[in-house]
Amino acid sequence: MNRRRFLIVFTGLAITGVALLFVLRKRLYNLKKLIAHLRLQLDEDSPLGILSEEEMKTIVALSEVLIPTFGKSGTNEEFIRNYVNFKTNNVKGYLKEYRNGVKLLDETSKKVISGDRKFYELNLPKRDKVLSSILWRYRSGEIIKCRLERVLLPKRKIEFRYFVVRDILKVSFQQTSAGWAIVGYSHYPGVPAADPRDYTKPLPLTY
Amino acid sequence: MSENRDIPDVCIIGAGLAGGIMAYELASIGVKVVILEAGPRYDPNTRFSSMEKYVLNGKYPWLSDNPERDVYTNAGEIDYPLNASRLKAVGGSTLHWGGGAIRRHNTDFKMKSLYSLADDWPISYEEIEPYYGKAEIALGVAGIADNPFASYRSTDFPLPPFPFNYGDRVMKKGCDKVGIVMHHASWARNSIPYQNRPACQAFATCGIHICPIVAQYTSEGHIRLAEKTGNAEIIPNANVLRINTDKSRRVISVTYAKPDKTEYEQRARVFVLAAHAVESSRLLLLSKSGQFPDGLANSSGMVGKNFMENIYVWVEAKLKERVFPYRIGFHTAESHQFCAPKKRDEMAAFKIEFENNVGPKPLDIASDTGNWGTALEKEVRESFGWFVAINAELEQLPDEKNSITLDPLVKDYFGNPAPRITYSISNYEKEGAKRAVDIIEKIFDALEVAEIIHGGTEAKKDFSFGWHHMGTCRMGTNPERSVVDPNLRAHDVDNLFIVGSSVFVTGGPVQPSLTIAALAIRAAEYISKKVR
Repeated sequence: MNRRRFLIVFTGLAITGVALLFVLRKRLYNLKKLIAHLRLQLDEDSPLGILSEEEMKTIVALSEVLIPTFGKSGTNEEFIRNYVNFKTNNVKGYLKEYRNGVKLLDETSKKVISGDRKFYELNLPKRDKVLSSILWRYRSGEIIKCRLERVLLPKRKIEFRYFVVRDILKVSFQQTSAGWAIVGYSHYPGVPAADPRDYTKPLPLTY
Repeated sequence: MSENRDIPDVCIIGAGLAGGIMAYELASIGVKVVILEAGPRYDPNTRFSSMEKYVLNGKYPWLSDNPERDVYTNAGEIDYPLNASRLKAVGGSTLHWGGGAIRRHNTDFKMKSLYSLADDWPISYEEIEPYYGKAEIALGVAGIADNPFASYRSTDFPLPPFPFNYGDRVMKKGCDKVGIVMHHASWARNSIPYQNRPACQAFATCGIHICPIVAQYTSEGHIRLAEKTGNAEIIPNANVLRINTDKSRRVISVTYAKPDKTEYEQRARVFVLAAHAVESSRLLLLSKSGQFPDGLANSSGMVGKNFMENIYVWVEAKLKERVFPYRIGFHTAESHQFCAPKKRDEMAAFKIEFENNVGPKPLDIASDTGNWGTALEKEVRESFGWFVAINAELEQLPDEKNSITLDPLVKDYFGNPAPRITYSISNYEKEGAKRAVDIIEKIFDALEVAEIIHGGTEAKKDFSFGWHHMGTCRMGTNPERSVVDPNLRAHDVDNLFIVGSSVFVTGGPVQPSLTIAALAIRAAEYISKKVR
């Protein structure tokens, strides 16, 4: 290819490139926005500390809705208080997330349930209704629904899902008998059996 | 510099299974022993809290205490994850092993004679059989002689077996329909109190490699017993850098370094290398000299070659009935029906394991779900407890291309060349894997399972490993094709012995630990005659 031809092709490509950027500028901007929306990051510049008593009441109230065996297993109010205080006071970003979660729950309570009541003042069914209006429900493995929620819901709701709701569920199921109590297990990995030969027998299903 | 102590009869390098047993066997009959262990000595009394930290916070208890010391590289088709399983500490791999204690089949020792493959071992099953009995007593093996495919045994198991778990009873229905015989698994784990260790209390954490009450055997027990005789001294954090010889081609000392890199010299009359297949061969290669230009004890050129593993494949299925998993940490049933199959000249033999601890736990569901409250409760109850898996543990043929060499560029913490692993899997193993998956799927077909979760073509190629490192200092009668003789003495070096699975000639389709222990007891008997 001679020099003249090269210059013509190069100029043509450059003009085409600029034109495409101009036409797609809005979409590219939205793509940037989408990436920022999808990137979940704790704000590590935010302070450590603990929630106020009012805020903690909301988190305990939330835990009562989230954990089906709350109070009937190792997950109870004391456990949640101790855990959340430890987390917000030791891991940067969590105090902000938990506070934002409390705010979201209270704001949504006032929108969804008539009367000017905070989340923790509602009964369990009403709290469940508030939570259902914030987050979608899907089963483990329903990847499409999970991804759609991630893309379509506002960022503050997604952060609430991942940094507060999931955090409480995970720690309860990992560090207490909350999950095993659902399936009627009194012994499970880390907790010895009263009868070491219990594993040879089926368990009576109570559900 | 030397540390100020009398010259012992025997210096053992490595305080794992082989080294620990040797130390006790020798010290208990008056032989003076020093054991050098590269890693630290952990307190067994912290085992419970380590287990809790793992269960509650996911903190794995057996991370390397010095990753720079344990650096390695890969140069083969497969990137072998050496440090996924290797543990340098007093107790070695027994700190985090599965506990499988199984005798090899008599045909494993005669692969060349019977199948025209690989080489025969220079010792027969009949010769090692009495030592298997002693090893079962030494480790405390729980089992029962209900395996119709096992080779002859002259002694009973010292401990009663662990009964089948509930899931086994369900899977047995499928096995019976297709003619697969299920029998009890044998474990170096206390089914009753034994050796001042309690019986298993079903903490169910063996799968995450920690027994909080040490009901499972570790060689720490043998090390302590050896120390109690007054004839053994263990030196942890003693990383052997090289083995030193004199003009008469005998080992006179080893040089080791502490974590601060200060070097010491340890002399002895006899030296036993028990550092597992990778480090034992690496140390020999590092110890080259004018007399041993290709590495100590390596006139055959076989040091580091024939690195073998046990390869695993598995099929997972969802049953139509619940099996109540995660109540015991190990499988209780196996089938050795295919450990010496007719077509062993064409494809790898394998052992079948019936696995009950499969499927999502409540935590797994809670971590992934978008549900909460009553809906979460329903989801957990519907999803939990329906899954089983059947694993196949396959043998691997020795291949000189699969090897441990010294990396020319990468150095470890002490400035020594890192071990470089060249590893691949051959068609022999791949064909065995295909057959294993086909057989397992027949069992599940017979059970009319609800769904196969992991099977078919995917399962035939999805290999995992047993973390059994074997073969790099093989034994044999021909000094041109082996590193040690049938008594595990190096052909080239009169006072050097090598123990552990590095001396294996072939891999076999069962865990190597009981064979390691049996060979160590046998070698200790021979060495004790030499030094006394």
